[in-house]
Amino acid sequence: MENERNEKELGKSVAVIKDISTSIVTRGLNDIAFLTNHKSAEYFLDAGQCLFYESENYHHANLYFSQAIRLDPHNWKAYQMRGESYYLMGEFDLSLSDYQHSLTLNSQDVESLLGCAQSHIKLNNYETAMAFCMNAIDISPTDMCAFKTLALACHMMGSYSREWQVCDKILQLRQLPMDFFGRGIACFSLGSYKEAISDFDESIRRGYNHFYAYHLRGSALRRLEQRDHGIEDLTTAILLNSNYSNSYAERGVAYTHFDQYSKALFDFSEAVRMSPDNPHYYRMRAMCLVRLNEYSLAIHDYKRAIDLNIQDAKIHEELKVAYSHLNRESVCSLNQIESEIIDKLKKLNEIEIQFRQFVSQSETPLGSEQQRDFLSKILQIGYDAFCLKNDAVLYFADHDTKILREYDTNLRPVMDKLKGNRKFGSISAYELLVKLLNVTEEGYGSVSSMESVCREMDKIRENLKKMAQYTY
Amino acid sequence: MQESVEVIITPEEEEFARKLEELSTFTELLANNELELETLRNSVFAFERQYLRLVGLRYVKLDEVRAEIADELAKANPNDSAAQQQFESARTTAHKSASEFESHGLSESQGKVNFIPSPELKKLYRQLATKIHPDTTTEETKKRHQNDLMSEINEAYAACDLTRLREILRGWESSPDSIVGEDVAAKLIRAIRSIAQISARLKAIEKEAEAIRQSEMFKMMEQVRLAEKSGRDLLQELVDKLDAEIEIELARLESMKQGFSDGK
Repeated sequence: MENERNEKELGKSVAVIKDISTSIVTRGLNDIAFLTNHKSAEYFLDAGQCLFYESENYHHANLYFSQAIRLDPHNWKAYQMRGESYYLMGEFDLSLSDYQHSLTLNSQDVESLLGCAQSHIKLNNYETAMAFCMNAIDISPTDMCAFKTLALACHMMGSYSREWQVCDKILQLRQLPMDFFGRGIACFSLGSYKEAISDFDESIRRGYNHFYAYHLRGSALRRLEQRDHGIEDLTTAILLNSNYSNSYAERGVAYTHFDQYSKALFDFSEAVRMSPDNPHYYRMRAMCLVRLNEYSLAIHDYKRAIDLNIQDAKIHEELKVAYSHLNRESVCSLNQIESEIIDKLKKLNEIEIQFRQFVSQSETPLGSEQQRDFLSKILQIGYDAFCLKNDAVLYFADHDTKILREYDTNLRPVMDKLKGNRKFGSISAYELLVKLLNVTEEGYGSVSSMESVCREMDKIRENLKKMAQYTY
Repeated sequence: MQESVEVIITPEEEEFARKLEELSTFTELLANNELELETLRNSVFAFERQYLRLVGLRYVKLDEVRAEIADELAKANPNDSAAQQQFESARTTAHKSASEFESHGLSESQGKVNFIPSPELKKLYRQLATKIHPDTTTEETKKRHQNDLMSEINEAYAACDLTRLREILRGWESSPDSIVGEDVAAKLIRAIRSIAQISARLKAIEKEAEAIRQSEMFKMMEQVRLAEKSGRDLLQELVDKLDAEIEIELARLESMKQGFSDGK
């Protein structure tokens, strides 16, 4: 009945707002008729409520409520509504002030009391919020919204047993699916996972198909080491809401218990993508990356977690372990590349001997003077390649990459020329030259990778030094 | 010794005396009703100007802002036919209001805030109307002349110009038109015709006054006057309401523009 009346009035306000009659005189008459039948403040209050409930345009509605207050500073409803609009606009200081003002005009208004409580919760004043809720419950002892707000305040304050009591009281008054869910949250927070699961079961059984119910049940199952069922629930939660990072993180943790690190890595990466400021997700991913032998990436994630101010001493230990893994790996790869280079150089040496023999045995192996010059140039490069080992050693000594760079600029144009000139001398001479150049090029490639590994090593040394500074 | 003279009153003269009395009553009534009509017309006219200047202008502004909002919405949703339609209708309304306002030519003329004639002004008008009203004469030339004079009187009355009215009265009284000297029979016929003319004019006045009383502007004026008695200034309330609505719409437009530019 009450609702019907409200709807009617709201409808009228809409008509008033949308009224753009033909003549400005007729409009004046209509407006005067409205003004003589209503107080002007009521007009703005009605119009504001219409915008608030129908268009959910809180900002615009707020302006109407302000005008209603200006016209009638004793209109508590206008203060209450403006408070509500401020609350939904995220202006909790302002919403609190309006709700309080509304209460000075009508101290029995439960909605304003709960508005105060909710604003206080947003402003982290949980105890004050609880006091407002109690006040509301005194006035209206079966007001579910008051109990719910009280439960929320208890939860935010970390007073989970009190939260449980409130939720239990709600269940005594009514048994809606969401009420079981509410008590489940309290149980979960208290660490009573079995009880939590039973409440979540009940709420889901009764049709509460909210992703968070699945998320929490999955998380509880994981903690009770029923990980496969946990993964199932968490997957359902993700299907229902793919934007909640914590479901991915929880499932990631469950996967690591099954040593499914690739799957876990995917989940942690999703969690990081959605919540790039959560240090725990970086740390979890880093741990996963260590398991996948991706030490550089793991170190990067550990560092990000430390930058985001994670409060855990163990993380430095973990970072150190990752560094040592990376160091060991780098030394291995350096040795490997070194032996590769030696192999290549040996091969180069052999080819060079073959080539010289070929040149001495053949009377006219090559055509013109130009071609001979060209050959000797390549030969020279071959010699240079032979010296690569020494260059690499030099590089280790004084980090001089100049030689490598010069070598590269000399080699490239000759290679290109050779590839473009297939009429060069006899077939065997040509083949030999190609072989020579290929090996030379490979040798250079090895040196380049050696260079990058060296650089990586340098970084590691530097990081270790830094680590030493703040670890010890 | 004084000679006694027997005055013989002819039937024509007797009838003429009666008609003259009747005519005088009619003329007085006519002057009164003309005054009332003129007062009514001027009051509504003055109220209309006041309304247009205070309220009408604000409706025009409000419609302009609403049309701008509809324009922004239409621009943001070029494929939404409803938005385009809404813009069209908002623009039409804005044009209509603006041209309606302009049609009153308010910006050119100053117009008086309120028409409140003094009792002296009313008295003088009544006096003039009794003497000069074109319907009191049957002669065409005189009628034309008096018609012109009456228009002048009405103008001076609308402007509450007491001096001008006095001048007209002085001019009339010293003019030969005020002196009538003819035979009784002719006078009698003229008196009868004048009475007929005046009663026709009285009916016309009543009709015109009724038309004014039926107009929206008069109804609005009555409501405003009635509210004034209980201490409410409805025009000011309308102004406040419209100002607030304009402010709200402007804020909405601003946030809309902001939102769109942020979105870009």
